[in-house]
Amino acid sequence: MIQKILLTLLCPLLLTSCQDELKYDATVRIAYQGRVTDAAGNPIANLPVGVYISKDEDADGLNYLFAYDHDMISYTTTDGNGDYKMFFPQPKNQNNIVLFLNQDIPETAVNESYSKLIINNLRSENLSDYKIDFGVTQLYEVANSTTLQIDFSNTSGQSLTKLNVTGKVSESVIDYNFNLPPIDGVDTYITTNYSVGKNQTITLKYQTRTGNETGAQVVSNHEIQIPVGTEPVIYQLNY
Amino acid sequence: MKLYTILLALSLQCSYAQTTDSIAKPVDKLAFNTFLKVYYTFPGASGDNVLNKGNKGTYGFGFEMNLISYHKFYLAGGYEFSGYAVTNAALASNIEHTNVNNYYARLLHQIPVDNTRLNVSPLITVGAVMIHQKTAGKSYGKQRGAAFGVGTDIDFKLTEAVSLFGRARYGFLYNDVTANAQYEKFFSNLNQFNFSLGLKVGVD
Repeated sequence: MIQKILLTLLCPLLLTSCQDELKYDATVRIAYQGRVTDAAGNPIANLPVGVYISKDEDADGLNYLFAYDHDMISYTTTDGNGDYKMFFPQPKNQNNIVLFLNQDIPETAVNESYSKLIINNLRSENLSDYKIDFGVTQLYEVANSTTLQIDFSNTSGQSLTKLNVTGKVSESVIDYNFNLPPIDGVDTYITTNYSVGKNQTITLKYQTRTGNETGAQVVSNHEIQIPVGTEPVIYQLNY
Repeated sequence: MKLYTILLALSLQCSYAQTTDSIAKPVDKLAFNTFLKVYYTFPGASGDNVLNKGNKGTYGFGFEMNLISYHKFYLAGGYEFSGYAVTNAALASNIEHTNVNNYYARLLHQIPVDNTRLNVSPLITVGAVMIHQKTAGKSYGKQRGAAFGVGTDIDFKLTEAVSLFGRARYGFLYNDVTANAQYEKFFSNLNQFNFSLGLKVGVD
């Protein structure tokens, strides 16, 4: 009798867990490719590169026991020319697809001499004939960096939904579809302190939203240039 | 009772005579002819495709049931499983296993080798393929398509009804995959090269 009751209780949990599993279409193969160089344009070899796909907590939030699924679905290292190429089956129910450059992947250590980059929010609309060519991505040598601190001040009552800091940044997360509204269930990466290269101009992009998630919303995108010399920089962002 | 005993004895004699006759002489007409082959497979691959460049054969098995014979041609239906382990996550994705399932019809022509117990039998196979990539219990989807194969069996008779056999078979798999035009054939035109060892049970 106890076994029957346990089975009855477990069945719905097992069924709901299936809904949270990432599903793939094996009949479609996606290709991601590109090249990684240093700031001078020289190729960086043996750099770890990977594609990470995640499915986050579902909309109704009921499946808290099996809230998400994720895969490092493909990974490789750059060759002698700094080139990388990866293939993977097309996900069908993902929330986010991410490209890792110089991040932890199986079997290959991060190259600590160079900056690290995450490109997230990759979408099927970005594919051209089942492929994204990311072109040349430059990483910079992180030795002798300085710091950039961003202080936020909310003067308008709007929400800060996205923030990208691009340039020579030691660890950055770039939204590939920055101008689009954020996807429900995808975390927004808002970082305030950065290690950055000296003597450069940093581009700071941020997105604000009026209203709340359930009501009428207006999304605005903004861009600011921040000069960085040899000394630490503190930038006040009013939005 | 005596009559029944005589009839039974006659019928047994007749059936024995038919059996020994079928063993002794080639069947020169269309006949239902059932024998079973079960085998262990060493899966392989060749060519410029993801099965060869991104996977390594691990183990496999198969079985086939012969159904019809005509002269020395034998028609069978069979199933073969070929297991591969992914060795290149960039090409074949970060998935542990690529399982190739072949469902096939096999036509074989048996050529006895004089004064030995050996038969050499060229064969062709035609059928369907289903490729399933998975890690432990998690599925990463299935591909389906057509499959063709050419190969040879070498049978060595242990007894009238039991033989050892080895098989080399080259397979052409045309699985349904869409990809960037530059890479589509790499994923949809695969080549298997399998070696098998097994037992044949039953009389030709």
